[in-house]
Amino acid sequence: MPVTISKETIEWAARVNIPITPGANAAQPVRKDMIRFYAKCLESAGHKITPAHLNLGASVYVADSHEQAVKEAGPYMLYFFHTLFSHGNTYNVASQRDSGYRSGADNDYISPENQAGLLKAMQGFRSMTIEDVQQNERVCWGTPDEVRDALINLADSLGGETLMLNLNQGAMPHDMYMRNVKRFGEEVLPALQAHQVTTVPLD
Amino acid sequence: MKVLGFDHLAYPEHMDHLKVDGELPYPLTKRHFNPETAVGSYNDHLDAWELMEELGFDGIGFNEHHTSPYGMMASPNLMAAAASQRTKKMKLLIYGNCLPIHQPLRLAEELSMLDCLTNGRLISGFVRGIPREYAAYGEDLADSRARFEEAWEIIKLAWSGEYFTYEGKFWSYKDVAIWPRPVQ
Repeated sequence: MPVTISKETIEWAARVNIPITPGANAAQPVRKDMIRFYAKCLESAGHKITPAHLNLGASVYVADSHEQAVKEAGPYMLYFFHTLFSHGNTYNVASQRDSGYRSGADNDYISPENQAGLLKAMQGFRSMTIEDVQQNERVCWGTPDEVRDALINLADSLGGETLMLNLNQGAMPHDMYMRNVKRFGEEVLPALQAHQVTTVPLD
Repeated sequence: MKVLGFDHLAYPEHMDHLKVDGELPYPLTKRHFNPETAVGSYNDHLDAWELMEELGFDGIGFNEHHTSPYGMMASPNLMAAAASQRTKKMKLLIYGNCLPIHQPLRLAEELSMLDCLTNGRLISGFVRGIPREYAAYGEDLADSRARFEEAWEIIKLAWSGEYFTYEGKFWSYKDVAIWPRPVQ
């Protein structure tokens, strides 16, 4: 189940026992709330959460330094959020509720302290800055070692064994995309595939 | 861990110069679309996915979006079909088909074809989609969840039963046995 946010979708995914992808661009504390709720729903349906239940999305860019990665990939990420992501779409949560697309209580399982973070992820991306981008744990940019460590930390802390990585977010030039794929594949991928995620931390 | 690429396949030419009062016009009309750009871009992305396979990625994922340069995969199934002929080992993750706006029987058939074309390398995800897509396809947003769940039931029946009959709120079928069937 791609990009799972609403309570009803998480409940449904748990009933039919299929993996979810918690949050879209939500920060880690929000995604942890989603995973805790999903684990409870799975348990109610007679299932137990495992790392195979969680697919984790992340943005990856490999460069010679973190600064170089931000300088090169940053403009494309901002183009993605400022121009492409919401084009022609109704992204205001209140409007989505008015239309019947969302129920009135579809986010009430998110803890009060994380509600603002969830709303920001769902409707605040048009004002996102490069500093905002870098603060999100799903943005794993830098040297091969930095990218590897960030992705392993993301997977271990959320408990997901499948990474879905965007290596071209925001219509990069083709040679930049290919260079990123090649460097990631040669310098980061083997360490990730050798890593095992064994538990889903629910604390 | 399993590591998959995920590609939005955005239209490669940046569109910021078209913004009016900070907004990219919607609908974004034909005059802004360059077929040569699209032709080159599809080929470029297929090259990238082929490179991912050579490097040992576990899979590549596609999504479905409509009527925007956000992504040129209005049919992720078409992209998976193209990728199936350029790859041999990677999983092809459709993440996912937008159930409420499509005929579920047609999706069940196309996904079965893809699983045969890839010899069981297909991972099939499903989404509700975003409001823009409902407007384009003329579907009511308030029916989104009910249509999603009904389509899911139909696709499961189409894949798993010897044949199936279904009477639903949105779709009904009688004595249908699809060909081909999924490999998995």
